[in-house]
Amino acid sequence: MQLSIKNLCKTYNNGIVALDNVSLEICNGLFGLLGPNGAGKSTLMRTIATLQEADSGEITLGEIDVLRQKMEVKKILGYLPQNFGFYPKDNAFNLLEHFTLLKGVREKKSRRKKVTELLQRVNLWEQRKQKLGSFSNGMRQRFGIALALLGHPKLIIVDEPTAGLDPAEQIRFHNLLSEIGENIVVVLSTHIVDDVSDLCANMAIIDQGQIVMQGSTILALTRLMGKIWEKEIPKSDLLQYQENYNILSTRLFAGKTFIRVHSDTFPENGFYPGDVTLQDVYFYHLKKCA
Amino acid sequence: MFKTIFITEFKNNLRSVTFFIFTGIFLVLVHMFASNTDPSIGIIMPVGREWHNAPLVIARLFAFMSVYGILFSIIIVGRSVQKDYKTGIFEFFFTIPLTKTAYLGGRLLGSLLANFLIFSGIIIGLFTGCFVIDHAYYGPFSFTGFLIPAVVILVPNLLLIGAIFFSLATLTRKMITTYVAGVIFMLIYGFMSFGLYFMENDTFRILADPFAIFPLSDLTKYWTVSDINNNLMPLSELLLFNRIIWTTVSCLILYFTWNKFKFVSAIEPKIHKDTIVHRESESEATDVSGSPSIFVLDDSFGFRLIKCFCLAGREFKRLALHPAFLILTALAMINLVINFYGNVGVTSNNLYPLTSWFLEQTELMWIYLIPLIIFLGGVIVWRERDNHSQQLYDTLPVPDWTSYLSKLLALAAIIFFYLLITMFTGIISQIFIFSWTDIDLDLYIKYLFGIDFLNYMHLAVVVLLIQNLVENKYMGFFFCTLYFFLDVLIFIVFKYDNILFRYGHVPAFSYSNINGFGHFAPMIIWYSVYWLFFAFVLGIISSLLWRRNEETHLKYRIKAAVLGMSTFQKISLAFLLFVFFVMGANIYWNKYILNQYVSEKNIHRMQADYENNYSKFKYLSQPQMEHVDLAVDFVPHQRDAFLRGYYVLVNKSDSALDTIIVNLPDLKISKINHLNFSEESDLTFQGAEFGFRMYKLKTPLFPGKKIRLKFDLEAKTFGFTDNNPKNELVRNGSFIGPSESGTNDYLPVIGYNSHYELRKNYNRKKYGLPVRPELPAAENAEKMTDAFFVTYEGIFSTSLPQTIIASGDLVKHWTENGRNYYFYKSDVPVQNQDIVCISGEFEIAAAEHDGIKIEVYYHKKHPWNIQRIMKGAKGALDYCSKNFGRYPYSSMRIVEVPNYFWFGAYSPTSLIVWNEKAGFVSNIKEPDDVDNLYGITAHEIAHDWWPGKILPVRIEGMELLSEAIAQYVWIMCLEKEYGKTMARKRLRREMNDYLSGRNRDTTGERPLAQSYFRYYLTYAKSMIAMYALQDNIGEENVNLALERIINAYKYRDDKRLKPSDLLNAFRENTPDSLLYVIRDFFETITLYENKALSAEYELLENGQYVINLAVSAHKFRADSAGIQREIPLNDNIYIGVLDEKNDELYLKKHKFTQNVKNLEIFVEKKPARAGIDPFLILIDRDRTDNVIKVKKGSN
Repeated sequence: MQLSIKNLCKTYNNGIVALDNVSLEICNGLFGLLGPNGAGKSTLMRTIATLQEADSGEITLGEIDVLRQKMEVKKILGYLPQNFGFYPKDNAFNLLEHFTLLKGVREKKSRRKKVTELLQRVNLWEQRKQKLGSFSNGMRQRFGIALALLGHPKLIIVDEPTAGLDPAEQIRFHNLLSEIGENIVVVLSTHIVDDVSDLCANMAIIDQGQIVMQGSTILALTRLMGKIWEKEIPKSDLLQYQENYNILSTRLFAGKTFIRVHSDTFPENGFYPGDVTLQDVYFYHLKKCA
Repeated sequence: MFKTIFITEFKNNLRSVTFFIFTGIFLVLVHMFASNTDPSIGIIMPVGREWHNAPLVIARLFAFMSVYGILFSIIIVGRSVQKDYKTGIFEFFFTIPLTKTAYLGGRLLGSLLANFLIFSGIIIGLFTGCFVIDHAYYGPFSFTGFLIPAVVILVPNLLLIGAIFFSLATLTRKMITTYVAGVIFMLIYGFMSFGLYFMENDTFRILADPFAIFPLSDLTKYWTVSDINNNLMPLSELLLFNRIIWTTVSCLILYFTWNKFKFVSAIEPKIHKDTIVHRESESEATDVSGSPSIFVLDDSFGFRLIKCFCLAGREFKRLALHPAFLILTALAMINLVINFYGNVGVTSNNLYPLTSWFLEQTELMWIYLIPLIIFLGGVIVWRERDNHSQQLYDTLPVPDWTSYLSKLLALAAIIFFYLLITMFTGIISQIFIFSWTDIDLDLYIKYLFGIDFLNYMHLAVVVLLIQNLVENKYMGFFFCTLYFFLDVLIFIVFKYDNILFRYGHVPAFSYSNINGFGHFAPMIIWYSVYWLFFAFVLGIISSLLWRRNEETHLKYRIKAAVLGMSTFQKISLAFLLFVFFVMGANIYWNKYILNQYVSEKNIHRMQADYENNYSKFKYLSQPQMEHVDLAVDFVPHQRDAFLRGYYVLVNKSDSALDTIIVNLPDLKISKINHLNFSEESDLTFQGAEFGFRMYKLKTPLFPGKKIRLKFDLEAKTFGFTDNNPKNELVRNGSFIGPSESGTNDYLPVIGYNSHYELRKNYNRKKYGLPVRPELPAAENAEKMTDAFFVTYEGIFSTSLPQTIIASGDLVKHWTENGRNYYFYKSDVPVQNQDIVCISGEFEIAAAEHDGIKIEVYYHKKHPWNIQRIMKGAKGALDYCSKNFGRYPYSSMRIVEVPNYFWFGAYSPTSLIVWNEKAGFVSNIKEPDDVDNLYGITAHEIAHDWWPGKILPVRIEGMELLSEAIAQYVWIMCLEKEYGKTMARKRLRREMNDYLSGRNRDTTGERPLAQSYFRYYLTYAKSMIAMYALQDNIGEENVNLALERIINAYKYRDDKRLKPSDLLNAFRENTPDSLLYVIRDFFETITLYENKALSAEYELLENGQYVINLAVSAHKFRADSAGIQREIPLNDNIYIGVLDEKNDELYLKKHKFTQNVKNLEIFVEKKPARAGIDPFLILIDRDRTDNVIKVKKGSN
């Protein structure tokens, strides 16, 4: 199954261009869509998830025309929205069973079996009778994944799933995502670079509605290999460095300022080579585009 | 710190939307009350001469609204601390240096102040309401008029409500508990007021009511209009004491809360049930962890429906437990039971608790159900969005229509559930309150689920549509409310009565126990189905526009709906619209073409035009009716009647006349086969108003000469209509007789008919007619042109097995061609408008009394009171025959008819026609309850003499000649049959009705001799006055006067009787020393303030008791507004000594010339109470102090 997006455009009523001629080819497996807040990630995710219309362009999922055959998409879609909540008095088991029914599972027995399976998988079995209103962020997010996994989806879309999770929950969530079958398309939209570097073999970077990079994650890293340099500088010199170097990022460590720059050649001047991370790729492309 | 908390709390409230919504609700409601000047509506404020802004009215508003606004208080005050828990900010407050007093006090007082301020809505509403109406309806606005009720009523009420719910919410930290407690609180208050309402002890009631509603009404029960307008609200010690008690209670509650409240983050860690569940089911968990489950997804239509039901089911559960639903349903049911009890169970006038009575009360249920539907509709439409779960739901393979339908079904289920609760409330109250087991389940189901359910569903469809179209829930609420108000404004206030455009409404109908839904049934069904199809259309539109993704812009949704419409949807939409229009066309055809359409406005216009155009003929000399010959054939199953016959008219004037006016409106008559005179004549003029026709005779009619007016008319009914339905012609219980205006619309009327004129000055003003007294003053006596003494005969027929009952004596009865024929005749003169005939299927009870046959025709399910009615008829026939002359007919027939007509009981010649709601279903439970059936029968029988044998002039006070004497016969017969105690009981009730009716008279009180028709005068004061008169001058003297009058005026239409003639006759039989009685009771408004001051007794050696009694008496004259002025005493007033059982040991009149009198009275038995006018012959506003306990003397 392949998800292909061609020349997708969307401008909101207030004039904001959310998607500007976006084209993407996404195959089975986890695909990371990386971009800063407001880059158009959620618009793209919602459009694929049938929740929004595009002004032009097309999306196909295998044989399905996503923009028109919405019902067909919904049958094979698992969607974890960026923000979501529940009727606080529902409990996990009942709501999940309810959703299983709405997905189209007729027999109560197989519904219960599926729900049990999923709750165990997302490690919420013990909390199945607990009211959703009392769930923590991480639990809620895991519950969301359980919802998205209902009914054998062929396409799963997870929008900013790790935002606001503590490190332990983040790891747990990453494990969960990585377990999701290889045979389906999983699109992970995020502004957290680690999500993509941990999970996704393929990725794209989106900024201001445009795709600024797409391809294999490893390849993207190798392309920058040997071109990233780091240096500790006094904070007051930052401005000066900004003029002279292509600074990708600044970070503080133990109270000191470190800068990372991109340069095809060794910049000398006290710089030393740094390991390439996906973050460098991210900033590199954002910078390049800007 | 207190100040900061207080101010923030207060300001936050002022900034919230709810604050303005609540204020707005009060404003709009009170504006509606205050701006209403139509006396026939009178919501909360009676529209009379009392000012809309009288302090008492303001106090009442505050008291009522504080109770009805309990939900507002719960939300504003109850939540003030609880919302800190909800938002989680409480931990911040608990960790800063803050005292409990500052925190709790600040929150409480801040929110209370806001709660108090929403009542400014009432004040503004009152101002704006008064601003748009005439000056006469309101007085000067005074600051104290608002201040005192606010301080005395409002503040303590809000404090109490606030204290209770603030404490509950703060201590339990849960809003749901608080809402449930709100429901329970309303239930308790409801049942408490229920109990208090029927309690005799005023003092207890005044103290026990925490919201001072009872004190306000009890303390002002007998206030006159001038009292209400000129006094501040009553500030009696009892009321203040009440306020102190309940304020203390509030403070105690708050102290308790302050004491219990702790700055801790969790109340008590509870052991969670979940852990236990978890352990039990661990084995189950490992069970399934094997292979991942495989299944197919079912997307068939059938399963989509199951999904829909499943969604609806979940939503229904949530709604059914929603606090708003619980509170409003509880309130509604309390209200329902109280109204039901009030209508059928009030001790003096009980009815059997029939199912139809209960269902009648449910008509007011919209007050609760409509806000509920609007509110819950908003909740469910926005449910997913409010929970932020819409994206989860919207990406499920659930079609839009399923999603929409599930919401509609949930709302339907909640309405159904509500109606089910209503039904069980009815059944349970019938069984357990009244021990009544004849439950008409069929009627419950038809009424609640056949009619009401659809009605409310139509609103539900609109609510979902509106909420679907608007951008947010609150706008949705606004537009739903707007829709509701526009509906009321257009169709009720502006009286636009084309109900074809009033979406979702079935026209008003009345259910009759005799005739069932009768001819209203087709109308109800057609309208219901008509709107059902439109609702389907709205439903499809809603589901096409259903908000199912993030593209919520309406423009987009409309585009998508148009593009995405399937052929099936297009075809079904077209089909539904087509059927809707066809149905509409059919209703139109029935209402406007098969039946004649007349709106209320049209009728009023027509009445005004009639008066404007033709009143110049008012004094045109016309021939008088002398004989009426009728032949009426009923076809009940087709609701048709054929009327043939002639009038013999005679010129009784001194000159020849050649112009005769005949009125024959086409409102009821569908076809005139012929209408002409026996002599040659031309129809020279025909007006559009009430079939006004003028005929010119070729040869004038000379004095003493006769002429016949012949007519052959058809009154057929066609189809159905909600406008001017021919309720007189029905399947069971047809009645042809005078309408409410006093004219029989089925027969021609001779001469200018002043009954068609607009009566109410309110309406006369609207149509530019001069305002005038409701009846002319004595000096302007006008001739009543349409009432004469005539002889009559008639042949009536109807289908088998129905019976015909008509005026006069039955001469012959036969059956022919499957029809029943009856020949009725009266040789004794009868008044022409009193000729009536009835066709129906009845049970018959018959008896013979002194050669007079008494026959009771009743509905087979209403057999309870036949004996009482018979007894009353016998008693009154005896009394009247003995005192006023022989009863002129060989039979007296008493008939029960459906409730479509204007009367409770009406007595045309030789008949009593009784509305099915009034008499036969009365429930007289205890042997010592007043037998009103006996009394009413006696009253109606007396009408065969008064005014059966005489013709009163149509002037003010004319009711003295009919109703007053009928009331007199009632009380005298009652006293003879049941004894003095029962008569006194009845009189006490009349006294109460009179005194409490005075301030409701919109035209101001008048003395009896000048009264217009007013219940509190015509019936209540009449009985008191007549009883007092006979008590003073003796029954035989009263009867002598009456007999003399009847002998002088009997059957004469040349000499008509005035009320002054009656009073003069009384005077002739009254000694000079007692003439003041006639003046006091009949010619003026006179009241007494009588009081027992002290009473002591001593046992004498001879076994006698001597009582030293001191009493005081004051006498007042009142004007029409109730302003009193004291006048000197020269009256005979009863002094009485009573024993334990309230039987009299001593009862004698004493002459009073001084206000205070000391007496020494000797009695044989031990006295218990003593005082002045103990059994209330005189009119006295404070009747509780007339008698006091007799104490044992000190020496």
